[in-house]
Amino acid sequence: MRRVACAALCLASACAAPGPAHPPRPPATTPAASASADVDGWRKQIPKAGPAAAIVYPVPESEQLKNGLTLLVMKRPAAVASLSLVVRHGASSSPQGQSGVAALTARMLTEGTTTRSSSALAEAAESLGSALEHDAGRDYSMVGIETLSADVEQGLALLAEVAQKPAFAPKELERVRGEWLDGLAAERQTPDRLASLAGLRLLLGEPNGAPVGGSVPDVKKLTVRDLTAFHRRHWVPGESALVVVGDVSLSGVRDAAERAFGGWKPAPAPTTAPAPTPAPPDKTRVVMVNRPGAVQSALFVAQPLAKRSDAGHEARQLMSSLLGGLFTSRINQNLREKNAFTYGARSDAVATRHWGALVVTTRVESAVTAPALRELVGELARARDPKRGAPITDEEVARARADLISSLGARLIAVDRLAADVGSSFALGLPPSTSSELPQRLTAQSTAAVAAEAARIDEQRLVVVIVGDQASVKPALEAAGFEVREAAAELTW
Amino acid sequence: MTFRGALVLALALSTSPARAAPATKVPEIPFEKYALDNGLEVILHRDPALPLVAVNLWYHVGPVNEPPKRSGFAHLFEHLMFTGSKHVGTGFDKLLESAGATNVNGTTSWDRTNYFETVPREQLELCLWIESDRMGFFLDTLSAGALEVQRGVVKNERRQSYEDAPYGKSSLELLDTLFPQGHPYHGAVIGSMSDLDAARLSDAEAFFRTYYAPSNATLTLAGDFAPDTAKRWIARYFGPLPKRPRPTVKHPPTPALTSLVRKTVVEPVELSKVSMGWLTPPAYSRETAALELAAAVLAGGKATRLYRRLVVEKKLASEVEADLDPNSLAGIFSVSAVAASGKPAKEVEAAIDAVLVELSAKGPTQAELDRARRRVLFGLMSQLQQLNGPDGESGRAGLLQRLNHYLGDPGHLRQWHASIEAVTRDDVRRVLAAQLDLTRRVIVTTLPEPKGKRP
Repeated sequence: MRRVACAALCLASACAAPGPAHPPRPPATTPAASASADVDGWRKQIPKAGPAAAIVYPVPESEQLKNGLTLLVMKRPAAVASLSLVVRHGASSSPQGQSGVAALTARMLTEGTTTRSSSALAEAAESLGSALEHDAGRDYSMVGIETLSADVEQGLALLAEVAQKPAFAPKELERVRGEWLDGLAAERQTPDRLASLAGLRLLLGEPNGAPVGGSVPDVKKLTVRDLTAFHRRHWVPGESALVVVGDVSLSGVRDAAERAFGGWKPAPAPTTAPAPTPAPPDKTRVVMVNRPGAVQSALFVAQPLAKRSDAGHEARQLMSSLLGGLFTSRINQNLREKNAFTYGARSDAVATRHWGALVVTTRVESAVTAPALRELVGELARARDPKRGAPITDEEVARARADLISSLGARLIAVDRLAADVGSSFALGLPPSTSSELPQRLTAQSTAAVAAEAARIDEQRLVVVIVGDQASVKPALEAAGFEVREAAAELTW
Repeated sequence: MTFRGALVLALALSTSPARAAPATKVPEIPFEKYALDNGLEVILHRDPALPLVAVNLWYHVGPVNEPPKRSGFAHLFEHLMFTGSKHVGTGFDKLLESAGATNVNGTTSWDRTNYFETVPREQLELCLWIESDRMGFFLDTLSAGALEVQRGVVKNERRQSYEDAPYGKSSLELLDTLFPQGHPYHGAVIGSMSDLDAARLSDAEAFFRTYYAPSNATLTLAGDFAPDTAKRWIARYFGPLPKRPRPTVKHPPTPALTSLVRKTVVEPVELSKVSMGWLTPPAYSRETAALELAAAVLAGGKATRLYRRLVVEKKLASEVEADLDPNSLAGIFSVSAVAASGKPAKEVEAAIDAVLVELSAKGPTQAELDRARRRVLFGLMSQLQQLNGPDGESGRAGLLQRLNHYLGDPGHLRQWHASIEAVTRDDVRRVLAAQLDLTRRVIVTTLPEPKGKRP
């Protein structure tokens, strides 16, 4: 495969699900020389595009039930439907010392209700050909299911049951905890996951930087009472949206939702103290997680950005795209296509309710760790400072814009992608029209606006985590002028 | 997703009439298929639901065609195909990105290599221009420098996906034991480091001349396009490419496993893993549908046999998988489990075996089979929303290509669906008993490195 299909990040979510599809491959410079009297000379002509057919990204219809539950419905001509119940609270609402509580609560909702055992629930979902899904991120928790159009009502009934009547049976929690801890161990044996785990802790500090899936010591301690309390406080109708995308109507969903969720008792919205805005470190420092004998180093390089609701979000998306989002982005071209240091490098402008971050990740051959980091940091500096010979151009902004707009349009092809968009806007407190307005907002960004966001990068104050073979990598990094520290054990708990 | 022939269609009558699960309605994918004079096959599937069109080009070449000592070459070559062509030059990635192309990629599997992108409908001609230039004029710009860079990239891909990925080395060990030295699949798709190092520019030239001929390729369009215009453009861009012979390759039959072969791999992991593999009949054999459902009965959901027994009841494993990967020379049926913390691999293996023995003796319950069938068909329905899947062999264009590649019939979906609907409990029992012989398989056990060696 020319490109890896998923990002190494998983910043927003507990699971190892991919971010936007992505990384890597080729360049663009010299047009091929061609012989004179070339009978194929006509082929040099680039075909002109036909008249553009704009893709209209629909705004979901929105309504509230009497108990405060928001309905978000998008009608699509699809044979399958995506149903999800999204709650505006996730890892960032965890009480101190209870990292993982949001993710484990969501999982336990699918492990039995007061009327159905864990295995009976699984049978019910799989009889529809499907599975009950669960997830949590920094700002959300959710349960969901995809069904055939004909089975939507059964799917909604299942979601209603798991959201309102979870059993939280101690026996099931002990079993799931074992499985969960094994999952955490598996995550920590994957170099890129380990790097972002440690990197986010350094970037955000404790307790906000704790992984969504929880730290090992916290998960060991979580009790049925903790989960029940998190569910009672946060899984309330006024903080939740039922997102339905498929061949449905608003009135049909309303009727079904009234039946399934009408009895869900309203409760006051929980108050959570907003997480402090992270500050960059006083200087760029490499924190090394040792993986003796590793043939590659996993790099995580990050710096705080503004949060999602701050002005300039679209310009930051464009900046990240031309830095490391596109295949032809600066960082990927340098590290992969010019230097063959890596199979791919990417960047993301992460934006949550409370904080944002520019995150660059890659995996490079151990022997080139120091030059790869130098090139990566160099690209950040060149993007920041137009005097370094590579000012941000109209052409690359246009390319980034075209890619972001068409990637949004491509989401229309599958109901689960649309549902993820709709749910994510709700969780972030954004209006339902956010995605449909995005093309216009991206188009309004000038090259100067993108360059202004890039000018805020400070390559002297980066969080850098490298997971790799310390014995060989550390001396090379130090020789290249980087200050290297060993990671404290609690960075990877 | 895999498919099989229609041979068991008649058995539909023997399924229990009391079956609770209703048959799933699988949509048709209407298409038109024709060939150019130079042998290029074309498949057109029009669906104007969105103003997008997927372009998906398959070359019927893969590791199955690699010369000796060149494992990984088909995939390395796939990377080279993105380095440019005579008239387009080296800038087509920027052209495609600027044109709003998404899901631009290429993938290599055992038997085929594909190249694909999805574009706004007004950019279809651009894609045909680019793909035809690669097909006709790739060697004009191929350089030693490009080979060196892509060799380095692919070696990093190998490190990232196998050498420094949990259980990656174990997965290669399983494949290379199933397909020993001398078998065309030996070395896996990614290839060995030494073979990647040995690749020369002359190999690429020979490979292109032999296998990247119009007569060895199939172009599929799926989505919103005007068929007459599309045909005109296809004729304009691909029509003049010279006809070259379609390569024919004959392979000796894959030697059957004659015993249980055990391998142990030590890796820097926390949890042990047991992975088993069997050689099964090639893609689209009589057994394929029943094997597909056997895998779905075993794992893939929480209400499956292996998950219930190993993860829920015995708490021996944290993860279980069962999978059928059917290809032209052989299918690979695999079952694996990651051990729960502190649980010995031996116990995990014994528990898997106990489940396999039970199922080959009694078959699944009707409810288990119905759930498995619903999951397989739901997965298909979900996949068919897309024009191009992420691997270029799923989604509508990818599925038409796959069916055409293996059966010469892009319209085989209906028969495949019927064959899945027709599988009975006894079919699953019989196929497990006949194909998953416990005495003729490969078992790879992954053990954690001793503690002292790790941080």
